[in-house]
Amino acid sequence: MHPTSNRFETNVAEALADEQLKKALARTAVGLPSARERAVAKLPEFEALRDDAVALKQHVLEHLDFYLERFEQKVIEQGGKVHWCATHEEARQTILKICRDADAKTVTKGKSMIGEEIAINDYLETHGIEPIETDLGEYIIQIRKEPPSHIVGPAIHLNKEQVAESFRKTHTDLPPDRPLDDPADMLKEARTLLRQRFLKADVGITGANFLVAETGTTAIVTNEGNGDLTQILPPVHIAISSIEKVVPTLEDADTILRVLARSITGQDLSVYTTFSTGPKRSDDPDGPDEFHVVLLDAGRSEMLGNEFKDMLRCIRCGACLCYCPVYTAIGGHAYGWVYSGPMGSVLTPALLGHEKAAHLPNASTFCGRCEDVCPVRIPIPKMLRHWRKREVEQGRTSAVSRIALESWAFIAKRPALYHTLANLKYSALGLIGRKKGRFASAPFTEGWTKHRDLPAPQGKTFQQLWSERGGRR
Amino acid sequence: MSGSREKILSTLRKSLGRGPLDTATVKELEKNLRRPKNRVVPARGQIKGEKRLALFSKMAEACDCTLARVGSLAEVPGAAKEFLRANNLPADLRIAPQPDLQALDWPKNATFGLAGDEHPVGLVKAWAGVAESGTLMTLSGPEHPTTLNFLPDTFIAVLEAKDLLGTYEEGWKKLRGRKQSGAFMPRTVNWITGPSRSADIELTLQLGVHGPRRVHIILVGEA
Amino acid sequence: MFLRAEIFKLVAMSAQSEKHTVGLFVTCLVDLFRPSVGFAAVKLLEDNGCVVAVPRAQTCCGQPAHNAGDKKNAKDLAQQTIQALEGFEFVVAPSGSCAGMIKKHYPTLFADSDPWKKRAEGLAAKTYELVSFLTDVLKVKKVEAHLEGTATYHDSCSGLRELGIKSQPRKLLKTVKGLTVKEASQPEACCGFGGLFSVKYPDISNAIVTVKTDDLEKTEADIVLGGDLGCLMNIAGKLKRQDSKLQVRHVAEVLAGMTDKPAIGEGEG
Repeated sequence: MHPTSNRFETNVAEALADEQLKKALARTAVGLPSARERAVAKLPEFEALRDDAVALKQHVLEHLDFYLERFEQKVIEQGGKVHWCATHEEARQTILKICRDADAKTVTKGKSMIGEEIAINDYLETHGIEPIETDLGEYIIQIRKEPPSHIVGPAIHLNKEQVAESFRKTHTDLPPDRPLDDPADMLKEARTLLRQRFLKADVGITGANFLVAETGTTAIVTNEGNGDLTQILPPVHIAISSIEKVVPTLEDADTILRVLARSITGQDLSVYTTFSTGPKRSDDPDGPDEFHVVLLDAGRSEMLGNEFKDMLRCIRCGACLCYCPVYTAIGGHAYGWVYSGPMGSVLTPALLGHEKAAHLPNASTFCGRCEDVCPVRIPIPKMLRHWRKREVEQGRTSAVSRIALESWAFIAKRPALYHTLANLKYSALGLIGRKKGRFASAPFTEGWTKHRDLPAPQGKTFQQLWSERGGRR
Repeated sequence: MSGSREKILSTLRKSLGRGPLDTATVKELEKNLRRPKNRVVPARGQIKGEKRLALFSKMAEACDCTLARVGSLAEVPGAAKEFLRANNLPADLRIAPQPDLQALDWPKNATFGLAGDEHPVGLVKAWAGVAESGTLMTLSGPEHPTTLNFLPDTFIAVLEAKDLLGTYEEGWKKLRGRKQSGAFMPRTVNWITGPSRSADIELTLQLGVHGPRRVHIILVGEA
Repeated sequence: MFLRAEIFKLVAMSAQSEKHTVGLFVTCLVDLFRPSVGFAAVKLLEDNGCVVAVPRAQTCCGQPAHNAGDKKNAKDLAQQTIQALEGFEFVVAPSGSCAGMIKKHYPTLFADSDPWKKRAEGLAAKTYELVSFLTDVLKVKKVEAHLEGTATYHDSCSGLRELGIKSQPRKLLKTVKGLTVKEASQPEACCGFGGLFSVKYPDISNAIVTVKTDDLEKTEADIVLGGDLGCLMNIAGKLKRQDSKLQVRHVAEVLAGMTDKPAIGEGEG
């Protein structure tokens, strides 16, 4: 997908005007957090597991080169292939070559954020290969030609009428007057249709929730089973993953798994947790003949050395999105790329370039709920503040912001001046606003008064009144 | 490609402020990979006997599995038949070619092998169960084609009580014990926790999206 | 020099009388917009064994600069604040976000090698938000206040997540005669103020505060209370724009029994 993060303000305006989106987001904002809270309440060890996950991830990042090399070694031992890709373009070309070598006409896809990040679908299509998303949510947005609006629930922004409309428009072989009012009807239709695509696919591409160095294993979690059908039916399985996903052993994977699904859907585990190691064995009746792992860097190795290192702990659970007051007001599309919400606001500038996503770190109230619920305790507000700091240091803040802050700081650093000016201004404003107690509009306050009244000052400042009373200094 | 490999590794190391790890550290890390340790393991699954079976049943039912209990493997065909009849499902079994299953007295129309789209019911013997979350653990192999877990609409898993474990860690330990050395991982290890589901449309929960709509577990024997 | 002498005198005097010396960090919003909150804070502290002084050389804690990524100005304002307040036994602010800034963020502004870091840590250790100071340090169990009606409480983000303020205001509100507290369905949800965010992204801020005000209205309470004036002005501004009858006050005003002045955003009529 083509990023539109630099059109944030336009995107936001569109999102806020969308009544349908508002309803969908209200569902997300309440439904998913309650599920998480219920699940967490049932597991006394949850906080200990979070701490454990942090320790695990920190250890891995400190030794990332070692674990990636061991992982590669093991994959090769099992008869698989590892492809290291420094950039998005390299990853696209690598995947295309594997598909071409397999003479692929159609490719089924399990849900993969890396797949979205490198925009592999468009690329394959341009080169005459048909990609078919198999995760129900991804399938829906694929036929609507939309980007995902949430990293776990890509179609969370739609209502069932919209989905039905898309099904009717796309599945033209079926009787146009068939009933599609019930999500169950749509499910049945998608299942039947996609089943055929699964069976006929030449290549299956999945993501990887993590890579296990000990055994050369890639692991995925799904609730639908689509990732499994994607990888066991075609003769070729490609697992694509960014490099920070590796964990040392299978036991380490357990810690991640115990906090992953719980944090987003409130399940102990997703329905299908699948550990795939190499191509099928000589005595396996089913499974792929070829197993490829595409490892993507695209900015991660650099992040390891800067102030955004903690972001590499992210396990892509999506919890921070559901708890974010900004995300639940504007939805995922407004962020303009694959990664939205708090994690997207840190990651998008890192991966696309700060100038291409400058608004994202600024559009936050720093309420801190994201950090509160992050299973790997990423200090997201601190990361966002780092972006803001970079903006100031590089002189890229807006003139208005700069002037406002500098003026405020200038005065605030001079208490005598501050108190004199304050008393003049606020006494005056207090007098003006005395009767009603608020202003519906006032010069230089359009940002505030567009939607809110501005409470009037009471009159003299506290410091002035304290002086008048001879208060202790 | 190898150019990228070196580029990525060298950037990683530069970011970490060091060159390749020293021999001593590498030895230590490799030792840990050879002798994996358990991390934080919740108390919940660390129980035995009937308590473990009860937990497994409770957790499996909570994620929409159905369960039946029989005394011996010989009773499994009957239990499977009864389940299908009670739910108006076709008595058309596709069974994993596992010796314990092949030895049982199945209806004449039952067949063995990997699953295709035409098989409405798949029946397997789970390699293990994990009580912590009501999870079934299966290993791909000649006796257990992976397609049986996913293609049929109805999935019946036979689990012997003696194969029921408490935690995931016990599963890994048991798996490693399979082979003396070297590669103990099969192509696919599946952890299955309930029927296939999605909430992608309006957060409405629906079962049977791509994988089985129904998961029926036949628990065999005593703890 | 003169200031220091005053503070030493104060400390000596209160040591004799076993009272705590508290430097009040007024906060810019209280100073400029709603001094009655400051006076309520003073009353609560004096009623509970404190001698309160208000240094003149304080203006802003620097949080707007800090959150905007302006490290230089944040540091300068932090140094000014530290200098003005570090001589007191305790420093109390009627604001979770300002107290949070001092407690949690001031030390991070200075390098380990910088002597200001220790001074920042020193100030951080003795700085408290008002209500939690009363309950957790002074061990206040009740207040002498009377207000008929139902109140609902908004948990400001900084106070809640940086300082763990949750039960303390509710504990004291329970002791206000005639007052019932009714919880909104999401009292911990952000109000959409976020400092400069409210004017940089006014439409998003509006969407967030609308969810908050809807939730508050649903409680059918008479009055909304909270510990941070920024949040309260944001909420009151929205409520008033919606012609709501809900009144908004700082919790200190109710606890101190000082609700004679108009509520936030209301006039003398």
